[in-house]
Amino acid sequence: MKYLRRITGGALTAAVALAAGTACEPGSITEARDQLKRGGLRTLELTVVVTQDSVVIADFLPEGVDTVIGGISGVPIDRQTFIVPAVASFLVPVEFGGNAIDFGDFEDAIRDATINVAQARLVLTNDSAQQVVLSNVIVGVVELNPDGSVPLDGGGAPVYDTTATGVPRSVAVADPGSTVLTVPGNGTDTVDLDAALVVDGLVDLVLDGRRAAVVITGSGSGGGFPVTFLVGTMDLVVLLDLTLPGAGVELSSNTVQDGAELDAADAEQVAERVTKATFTATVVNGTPFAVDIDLAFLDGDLGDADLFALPGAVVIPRITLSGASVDAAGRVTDPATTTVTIELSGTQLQPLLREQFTSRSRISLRASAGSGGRAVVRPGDIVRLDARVAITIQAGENQ
Amino acid sequence: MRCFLALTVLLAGLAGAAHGQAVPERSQGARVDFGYRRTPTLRVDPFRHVMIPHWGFVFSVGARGVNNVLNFRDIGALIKINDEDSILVGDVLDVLGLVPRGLGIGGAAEGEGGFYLGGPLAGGLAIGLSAKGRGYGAFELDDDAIALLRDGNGARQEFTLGDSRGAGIASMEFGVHAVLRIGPVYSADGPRITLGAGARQVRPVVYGRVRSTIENGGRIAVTGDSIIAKIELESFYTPIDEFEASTAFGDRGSGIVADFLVRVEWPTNGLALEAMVANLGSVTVERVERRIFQLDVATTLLDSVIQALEDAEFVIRDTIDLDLTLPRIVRFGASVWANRILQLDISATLPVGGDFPRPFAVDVGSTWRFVRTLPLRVGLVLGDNQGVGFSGGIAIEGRTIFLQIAGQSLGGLFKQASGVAGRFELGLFF
Repeated sequence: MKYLRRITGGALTAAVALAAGTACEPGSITEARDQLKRGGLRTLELTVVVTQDSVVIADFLPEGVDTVIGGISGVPIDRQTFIVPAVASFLVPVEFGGNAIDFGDFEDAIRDATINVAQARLVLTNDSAQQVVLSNVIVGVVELNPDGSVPLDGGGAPVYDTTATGVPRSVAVADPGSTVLTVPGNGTDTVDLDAALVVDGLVDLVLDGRRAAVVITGSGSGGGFPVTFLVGTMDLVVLLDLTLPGAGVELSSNTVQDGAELDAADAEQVAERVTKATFTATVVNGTPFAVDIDLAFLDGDLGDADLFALPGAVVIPRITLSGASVDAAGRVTDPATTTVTIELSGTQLQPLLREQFTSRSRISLRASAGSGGRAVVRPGDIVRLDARVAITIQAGENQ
Repeated sequence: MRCFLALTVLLAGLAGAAHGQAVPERSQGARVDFGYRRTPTLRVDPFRHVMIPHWGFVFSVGARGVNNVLNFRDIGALIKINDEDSILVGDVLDVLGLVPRGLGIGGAAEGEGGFYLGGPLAGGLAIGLSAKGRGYGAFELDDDAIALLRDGNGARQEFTLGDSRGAGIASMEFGVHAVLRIGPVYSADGPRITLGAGARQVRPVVYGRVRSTIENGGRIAVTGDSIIAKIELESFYTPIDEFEASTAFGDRGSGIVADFLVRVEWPTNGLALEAMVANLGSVTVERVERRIFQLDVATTLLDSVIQALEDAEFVIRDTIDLDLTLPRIVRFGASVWANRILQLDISATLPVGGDFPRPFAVDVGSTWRFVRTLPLRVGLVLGDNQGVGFSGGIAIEGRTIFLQIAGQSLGGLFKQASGVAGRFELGLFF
């Protein structure tokens, strides 16, 4: 029985060891990996669509804020409420904080461009039974003093912001066909005015991080006792009818994105195996902007760091997208098609394979040729993107 | 079909060769009991013990596992990588490269262990009772299902899950089998006929199955312009928590399966022909949880596919009682004595439906009896999704003790093998 136990025990042990494969382990990890590709390497090509989609300008704006006036896309600014004392001489500052203005990805472009069209709507409500007449009403933009007060000249008039040529950013306001604003008793008066001059200044000041206000001045007829007050609201809409500087405007932003979520060793091995990854995109640009794109990315969450200046960042050669053909007013007449090909090596691809990567895009936006720098964005202006990636990988081949 | 024809020709050849050959009276061949002349197989054989010509107990355990992709060197390499580093995406791609084109990935395993009590009665009748635990498992991943990751989509863009499926069951079995030996008929040297029949009550313990339910395995199309995936998988399994709460033998359902055997032997020339069918009938598995996995995507956005894959999961549809068919086994065998000490065997195990995919397989064996009670066995295994395998074994066929140790190296020898089988049997006779 002793021999029987030896024989059976040995056989069972051998069988278990064989079944587990432990008896067949190679001497090193390198040997083990060579074993799995014992037949040599095969080349595997995988082509996958990344996106085939249309992008409208609204996709670049904060969600839900896009509007259309007169066929032009626009961005509203948060409504502000104020009180107008209908006294002989009133000065009402309406401050717009940084939170009131959000142009999303267009922020830099709108700041650096000249706004050609902006609409302001004033609604004045009179809760008293007596009609109120406001005369010599002027709406202008000022940069507030550090204490929040309105800067005044020696005569007590506001010191308005000015254009580059010294023109004060202010406009007179009156009812159509009149020189005054008339608010009936227990009624309202609504006035729409072209406020591009005012709004362009306001936007520049606010986006530059300075305190700014729209100031309303004038004289009211309700100066008796008790004083009649009007409740007012101001709605501003910036329409995307812009004049861009000849050199264009530059937008830079960092985005932290999820990668393929491979661990370091996995990513390194995949990078070694990838012969090349070719991104091909056909872009049909239906916007009045020509675009130069510089792109860099690097592994990890790097906040707002300038990746172009960081060693080790993968920098993609500049991509240039032609702008659509436009008329003299900057309106799109024919979209332009550009095909872009970017080829990355496995090593360059490696940052995209980890948990997160930061990409920095530096976009130079220029108005399409032929409009003198003017660009008008309409809701139908779209960018159609047809992008695919082809990855060539080497992997073990069967014998 | 070609394999079957080839086997038929081979059997005919063996029969012809044996026709004129008598087993010498004092040779080992002539002295071996009829029960032991029936060469044991490492496959399922419900009649293996009831043929033993003595009363007693037999404890037996056996297992068999094979796949068509990884050999033991590969498995060892994966274990090494997993233990000392980690299995990386590139390693998985390398393994996919080992999948033979056109065949996909296939694997099967079975195991059994238990006790037998029985022996011969009067008049050539033998009867045996058995209690065993048994498990079957098999899977097939269609070549179309893995071609995308193995070959990429440069040459082709359309893929399916094909006939991908997998199933496994572990059960307890209580059986009774009997064989009746008749003969010699016609003359003293005439053939002896053995008829066998038996039934087993099968009580499932754990069951699981998954399969593609859309015709032709659904559709997966990956191009540079779009991604389309319309697939549906259905899984059945008996929840483990419920299994743990129940008794080991469970009230998970039951079924009766039947086995039959016909064997004809010509003792003087050593020829034997045999046909066996096993696992006829079905088994009811109760309270099986059915789940559905659906993926229906047609998009031009890679992100949409990633999101759909993240959202897709097996969703419980219902809990049902399931009738399943165990692997039906049809086996034809033949054996001859080549000389005084050498017996040659060939058997073919045919796939005949059932819920577990089982490919065609042929076993060719030789039994060398330099000492009558100490047979040595070597042989070949063909088919069975593993190419060529080798088998060997040794046994002690004594009056009071029976011991058998046998093993197979499937798909190659030792480290080159892609499967292994082993069997140990110990009998004590009164």
